[in-house]
Amino acid sequence: MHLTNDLKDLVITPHGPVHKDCIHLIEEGDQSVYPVCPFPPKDAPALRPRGPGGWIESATFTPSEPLRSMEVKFTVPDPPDESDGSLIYLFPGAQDAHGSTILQPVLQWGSNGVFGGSHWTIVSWHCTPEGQSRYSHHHKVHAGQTIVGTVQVKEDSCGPDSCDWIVEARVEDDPDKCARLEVLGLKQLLLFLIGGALEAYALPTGAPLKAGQDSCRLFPGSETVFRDICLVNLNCDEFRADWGIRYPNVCGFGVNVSRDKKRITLSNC
Amino acid sequence: MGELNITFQGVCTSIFGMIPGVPMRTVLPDALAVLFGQVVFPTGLNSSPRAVDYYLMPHIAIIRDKLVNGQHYWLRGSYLKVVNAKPQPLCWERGGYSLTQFKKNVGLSRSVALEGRAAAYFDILGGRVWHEGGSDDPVITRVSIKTDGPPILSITPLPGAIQQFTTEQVVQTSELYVTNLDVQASVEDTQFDFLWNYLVTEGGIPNELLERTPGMTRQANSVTFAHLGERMKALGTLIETSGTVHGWRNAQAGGDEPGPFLKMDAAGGDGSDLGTLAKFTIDPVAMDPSCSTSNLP
Repeated sequence: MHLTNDLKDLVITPHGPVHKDCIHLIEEGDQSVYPVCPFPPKDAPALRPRGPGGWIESATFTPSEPLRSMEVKFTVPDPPDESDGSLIYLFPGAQDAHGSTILQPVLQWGSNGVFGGSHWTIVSWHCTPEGQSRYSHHHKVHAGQTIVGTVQVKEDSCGPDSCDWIVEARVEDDPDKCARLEVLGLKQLLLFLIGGALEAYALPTGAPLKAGQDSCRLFPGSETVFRDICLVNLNCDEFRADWGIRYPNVCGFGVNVSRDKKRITLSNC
Repeated sequence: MGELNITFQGVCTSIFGMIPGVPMRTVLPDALAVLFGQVVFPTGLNSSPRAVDYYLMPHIAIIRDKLVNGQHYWLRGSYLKVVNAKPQPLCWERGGYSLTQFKKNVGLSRSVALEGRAAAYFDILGGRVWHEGGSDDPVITRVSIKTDGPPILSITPLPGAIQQFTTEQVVQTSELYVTNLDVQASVEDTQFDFLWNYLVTEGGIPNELLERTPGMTRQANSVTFAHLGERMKALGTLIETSGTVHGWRNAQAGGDEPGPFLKMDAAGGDGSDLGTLAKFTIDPVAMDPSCSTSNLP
C-alpha cells in the first residue's frame, strides 16, 4: 500500500516527513554535499517524529560524554497481523543534543513512499540539520533473523571540527545483507542515545499511528528485543546507559530494561 | 493589512484579565535553574497520595521567526509587544490547562507576573487566541493578531533586566515561535516539567497537587542523586562543548576533557556559555505533555 496523493511529494522517513527532493540514496564513497532543503517542515507536528515525543515507545539516555560507538543486536519480530496498513520503524540510534540530526540503523515494515512493502527491510539513515535525509541501500530480512546495528566513528577520521561516521544495519549470519552508510564531516557531537524505539504511521494516510486496542493489528506481531548493547564514549571508555523509558498507557505496550542495562524489550499489543 | 501568528510552547503561562489594561499577558518565567524538590499527588479514590522526589532541568526562553533554521533571540528579561497591532478585541477560545486545575487558591506572584522578574512578558491587547494539543500531546498556545502592514515586534528590557536591549523588528515571516524549552532532547525529567509554570504563582511550585500535572504518570518514580548527577554532567558537557566536535576539541585543549581522542589536531576558537548554548537548544517543538503551556485563570 502506498501513500495517498496528499503525501505524494513526501517520504515518511524515520525522522518524520521529508520532501522527496531532499531524500538521497548514498552510494559507497559518495561525498555529495546538499544545501538546506527548500521544503522545511510546515508545522510543529511535522517535527515531532524527530524525538521520543513522536515515537510510540522508546528507551533513551543522555550520556555525560559524547558517543564514539554503539552496537546493538535486535531480532526481527513477527509481521503485523494486518500486513498492509502501517509503516513501522524499529531502531537504535544516536542524535545530537537538540535532535536536529540522527544516525540510525533501521528495521522497516511497510512502504515509506520510496522503498519497502509488506515485508521487513533493513536500511541505514542519516537525517541532517539541513533537512536533507540520506539513506543506504536496503535489504529484505525475515522474522527471527538477528540484526546488528552500529553507529561508530570511522577510525582516525576526527579533524578539528568534525568526525566521519559509519551507520550499519547487517544480518548477523549473512554478510551480504549489510545496509552501510558513511556520514562524512559531522560537526555535532552525538549526545542523545536511543537504545531502542518504535515509530509507526498509518497507511495510506501517513498519519502517526496511535497506540490503542483498535490498532493492535498494525503493530509488530511480537515484542522486539534490543540486546548486547555496547557503548563507548569519545574518550574510548565503555559506559552503561541508565535508560529512561517512555511508552503509552495502553494495555500491552511497555518497555522493559534489564538490570545490567544491556537489554531493552519493547512490547506492544 | 498584515498578520502575526504567534506560537507559544513550553513553560509559558498566559494570564487573562487579571492585569489592569492587559487582556492577555504571557509570562515566560525564568526557569534557568536546576531545581530539586518533592511533590505529593493523589493516586486514586482508594489509594493514599504518593510523594515523589523530582528535579527540573534548565529551560531557555527564545523567540524565532521560523520553525527551523530561523533567526533566534535569547530572552533574558525582555518585554515584547506588537507595536502596529490593529485595534481588535481579544477572542479567547478557552482550552488548555489552567493552573487552578492542579492547585487550590492560585494567586499571581507580583514579582514574576507584574514586576519583571521573568525571562519575558508578551503583552497581547487583541487578536484570536486558541490552544492546540492535549491528551498525549503537549498543549501549545496560538495567537493571531491583525497588523497595519507587516508586523513589527518591539523588544524592550523588563525592570531590572541585565540585558538592556531595545529594538523594533519587522517580522518578515509573519510567524513567531516563543518557546521556553529544555536545552536537551532528553526525556528523563519531563514528567515534572509542567511544574515550572507555577513560578508565576504566589508561593511558586506547589508541594501538593490536586491531580497529576500533564505528562506525569501514575507510576512516576522518584529520582535518585545518581540520576541527577548524570544529568548535571551531561548538561555540563553540552555547555562546555556547545554540542560540537570543535567545542570538544577546545575543551581538550583547555585541559577540561581527558583527550586526546583519536587523532588530536590544533584547536582554537572561543569558549562557550549559556548564550552560545541558547543557539543549540532543541527545535521549537514541545515533545511531552509536561511541556504544555498554561493559563490563569
